[in-house]
Amino acid sequence: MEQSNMRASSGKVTAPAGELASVINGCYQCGKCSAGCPVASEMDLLPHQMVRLGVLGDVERIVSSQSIWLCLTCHTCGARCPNGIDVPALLDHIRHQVVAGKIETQQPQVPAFHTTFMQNVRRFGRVHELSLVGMYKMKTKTWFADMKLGLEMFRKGKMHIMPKFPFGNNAVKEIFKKSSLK
Amino acid sequence: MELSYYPGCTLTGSAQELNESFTNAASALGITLKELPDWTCCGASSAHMVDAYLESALPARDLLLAEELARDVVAPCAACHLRLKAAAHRIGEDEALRRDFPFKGEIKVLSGLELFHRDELRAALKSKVVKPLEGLRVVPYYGCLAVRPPEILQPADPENPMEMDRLLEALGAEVLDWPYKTDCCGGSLALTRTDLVLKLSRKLLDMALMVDADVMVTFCPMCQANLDTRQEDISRETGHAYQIPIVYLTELMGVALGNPQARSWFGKHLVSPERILASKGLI
Ligand code: SF4
Ligand code: SF4
Repeated sequence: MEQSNMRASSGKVTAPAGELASVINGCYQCGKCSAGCPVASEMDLLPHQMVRLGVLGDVERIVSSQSIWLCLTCHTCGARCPNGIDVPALLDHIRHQVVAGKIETQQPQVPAFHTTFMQNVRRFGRVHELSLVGMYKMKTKTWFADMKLGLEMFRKGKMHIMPKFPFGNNAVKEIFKKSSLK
Repeated sequence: MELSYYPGCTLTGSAQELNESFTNAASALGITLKELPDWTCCGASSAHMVDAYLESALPARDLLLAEELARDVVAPCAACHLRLKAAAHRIGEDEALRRDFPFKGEIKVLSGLELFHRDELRAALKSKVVKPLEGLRVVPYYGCLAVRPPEILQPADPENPMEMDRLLEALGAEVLDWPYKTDCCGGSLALTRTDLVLKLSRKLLDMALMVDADVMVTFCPMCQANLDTRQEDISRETGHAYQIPIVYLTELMGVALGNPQARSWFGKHLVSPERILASKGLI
């Protein structure tokens, strides 16, 4: 008979293994993580349900959920879990594979923002906020959202036109070569 | 005291008022800050979302730079501080990462709050106050990254931190008890799910209004930006005018220490604290 804890993921995303698996295996479904999660009311899978799916190796359901990208990484769950389980640690493991494999998900604007952010870091070594926002808007075609706020911030001198180029730029490019965002 | 200074991208960009008020407060307390030469981005709240190596390697590079100088390093931005600490932790556990970044852990990574909260600095601060913040009703808002994850940050109390409370008391402010010190403002979804962020931020602002606070005080540039810039949207959505200034602890330190530059920092806020501070005779 197939053991539930031996079930592997069907698709491109691998189930938690090693240290992460042994930590989440301690979950006894008390639901404390979900009780304190600030976005639980918006989620289609609650934090304790995602942990259960992680234990069962059914990560595909997490990949296709809204919740994977709604999680704020606020670590409220992890700070309160009686078994030291931090839901974003589980989700990061899955999010990395989704990004590396360019897998289509719900809430695509969230990973789009984070990859745009990292491309900005790769290019300049530091974040240049104005071009980050511009690139993100280009990618998601959300030109007009927050336009007034952007202008206001510009007027207040909160946005700089020119990026700064630290010398460490090349070291940062080398770091990116060892990542999935080459 | 001499420290290396890691300002991070936000403080050199949209949170200049934190950069200026922080460096001013440090120098008033006799701390010499030396900007870490050639520092690069720590990966902030994005690297960990996309790649495990970037998450640790980007801040690890900065840790190595800091260790070469053999001075403890302070990172006022809550996200930078967490990323640097988390990378130091990971290097201790991950041999491959340690080979790429042989950080030995001989220097400490300090948050701004941790630094100013030291007994001797808190006492020095208290003795230098020329304009006690009497009658100013404040709610201290720590946010997530000052206390979580607790295994990395080792806070004295992750549910009810007191460091900012004590510093505000040293400045003479009336520190109010409120339940949302460490509740999330939603900052990481600021541009991607603004609707959700408005809900979370509004919850915090409503509670601050309920306890009749004059200002909300924070040390985190993401929280500050999020709560300050979204009040106009929240006002439009609800039909109530939200106008609660979100100030940095270090800005209030500047006011209490009589720093004439404080006014220029407030010009960077969308909801300026100038009126309320002036009405209390503080500026
Ligand atoms: S709080 Fe911890 S043990 Fe309880 S359901 Fe959540 S992950 Fe499982
Ligand atoms: S880290 Fe994610 S899952 Fe955990 S409480 Fe915060 S939003 Fe919810």
